Amino acid sequence: MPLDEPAAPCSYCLGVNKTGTYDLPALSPGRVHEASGPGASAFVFLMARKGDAMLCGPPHWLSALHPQSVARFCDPNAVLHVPCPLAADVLWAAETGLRSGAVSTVIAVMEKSPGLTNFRRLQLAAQAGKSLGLIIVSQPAHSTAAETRWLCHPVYTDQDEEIRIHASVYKNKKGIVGSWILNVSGETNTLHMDAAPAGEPVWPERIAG
Amino acid sequence: MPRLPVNRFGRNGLPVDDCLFAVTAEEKNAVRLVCLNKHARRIGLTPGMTLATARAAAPELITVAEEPLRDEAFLNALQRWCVKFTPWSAPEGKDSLLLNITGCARLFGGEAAMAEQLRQELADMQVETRIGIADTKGAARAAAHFGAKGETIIAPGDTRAALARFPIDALFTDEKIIFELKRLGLKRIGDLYPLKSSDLARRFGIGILRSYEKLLGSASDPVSPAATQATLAARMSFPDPIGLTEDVSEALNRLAAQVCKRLRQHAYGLRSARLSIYRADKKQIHVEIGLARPTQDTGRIVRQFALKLDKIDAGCGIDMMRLAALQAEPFKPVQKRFADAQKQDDLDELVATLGNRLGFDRVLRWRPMESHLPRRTFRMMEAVRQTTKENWRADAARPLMIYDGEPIEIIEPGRPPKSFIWRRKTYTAARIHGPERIGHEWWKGPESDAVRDYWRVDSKEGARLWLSSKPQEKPHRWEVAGVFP
Repeated sequence: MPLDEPAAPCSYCLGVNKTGTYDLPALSPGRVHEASGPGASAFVFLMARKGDAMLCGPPHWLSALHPQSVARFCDPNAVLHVPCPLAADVLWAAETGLRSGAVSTVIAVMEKSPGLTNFRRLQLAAQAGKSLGLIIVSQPAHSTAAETRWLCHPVYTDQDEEIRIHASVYKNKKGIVGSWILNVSGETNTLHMDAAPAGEPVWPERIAG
Repeated sequence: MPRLPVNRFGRNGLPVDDCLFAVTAEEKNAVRLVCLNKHARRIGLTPGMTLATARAAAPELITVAEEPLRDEAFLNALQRWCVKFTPWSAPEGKDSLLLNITGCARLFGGEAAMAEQLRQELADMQVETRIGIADTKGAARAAAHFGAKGETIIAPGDTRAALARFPIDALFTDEKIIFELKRLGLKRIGDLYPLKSSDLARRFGIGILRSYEKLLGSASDPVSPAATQATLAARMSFPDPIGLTEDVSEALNRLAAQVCKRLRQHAYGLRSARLSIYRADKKQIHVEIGLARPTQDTGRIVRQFALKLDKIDAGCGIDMMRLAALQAEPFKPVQKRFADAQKQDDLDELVATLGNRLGFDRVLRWRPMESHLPRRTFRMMEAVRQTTKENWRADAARPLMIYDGEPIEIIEPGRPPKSFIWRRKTYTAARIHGPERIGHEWWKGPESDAVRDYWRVDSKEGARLWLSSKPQEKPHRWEVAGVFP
């Protein structure tokens, strides 16, 4: 999606800031958020760049990550890996991590969104531990108990070193929805990110179709 | 202690004295008797006999399989008990104890009185003994095994004369040599005295001279005492069986407090522990936990056990609980920084909790490695072992996710392909970077992974893919080796 397209006022958007543009909704800590799409992993590491992170998910997914690339977003020393072959263990590990409050971010990788009850458990755990929960799902469910739901796609950019992600918030319990283009440049310590509004939210195909 | 395994079963409540009883083990491709009680010995059964032969001779024979680890633990316990006689003791072989009683005997009223007391106290523990006291380790061993009575005391200086009538087996050397010696008619130790040691060495090797000299005390053969180990364990027996979770956790609290006190005394930190629960119906339940860092903190140990207490089935009640340290490390208290102390503690506890449920090999961190192969520039390491922070260098030329070469379907060829299908999506190359040639590890020989060329392809669709092919392969087979952020 081209960046120079004028940011059309979005019918879903509820809040407009002083300059007349829409700010990217912040991921509130103490809640669990869900991200899907091909750009989800980069987006999630971008959001987990502060403090320690715990990463739980299927072993093959975790072992495919390359730390030198992750180092562009966050410090690989701060990432704790918990490969779990069973989906139930992923849920348990995520809940334990969230409840302990020992890590600022818990990233859980799942095939399908957890059911409403399980998701609610995660939300309560996040609330207790005051940490941020992020779930990467490949097949998002129709409805979940997520605080916000994101769909992330990488976008072509002329800049070599820049990373551009089309991030769409299609569900937000306490804020605005819509799409944003995230431009990320620099590395860990000099990371710079700006978000430009890009119109209406985009739904994942499975849900929209 | 010639019948240690039988005695141990007797102590455990088996009626070993009322019947023909033997302990068996699998040796030389057959189940054989290894230890017999006196009734079985009296009717002519011997150790080394196969079970089938023994059964044929005495159908009413009762046998139990040997438990070598428990026998060893029992022997070690007896060795620790022997500290009341001498500080210098060690287990020897499978069923013997060596005590260096130099200077200790007079405290018990002489050697004979000491041997009598030792025999009496072991008999109270239902352990049969044969005791030998002599100048040298070898002579004492020979006296215990081949002495005429249960207690054989060889007076100081009498060794040579007293040993002369002992069988040649008292050398306790290689079985083949003993066999050879017997074949030559040298049946007693005394038969060796007239022989020249050079002749013996030429015929049987230097080994026999060593054991001969040790036996007679001309070569030194000291008793090396078993190291005393701090017992980092505590147990609690209950007047009545308990079953409520609160009771169990209260008992656990008290046990952990005791263990931690001992840890502090010996400057040890606990790494893993086992809680053994002995139920009233004689069943045992063992629960183990591990910790991310050595600790002396009661709360941390109890919290790890608390997660597993719910799963314990108390049955008809718990008689006794024992908490023992499985792994303890020297503990060095370190001044922590105020800001990080709590955070680090929390993180350690999280690692321990995850590790105790999933296994500590499933709680990992990245560690950098020196290699030019992208796959090998890092390694996963157990989080409990990693203590230092590593220096990571961000590299934009490496993909976020690495795949094991997923083939693509080419629509428009090129080097790299201009348009292709991967995972059922079509990509059109907008910009390419490369090639980057990454060679194999030459020291592993030509068989290892071949040389490959890699391109970063920025597609119009947005995805940045890492395509690879082998340069020497024609036509090129293209694969997706990774995805960039």
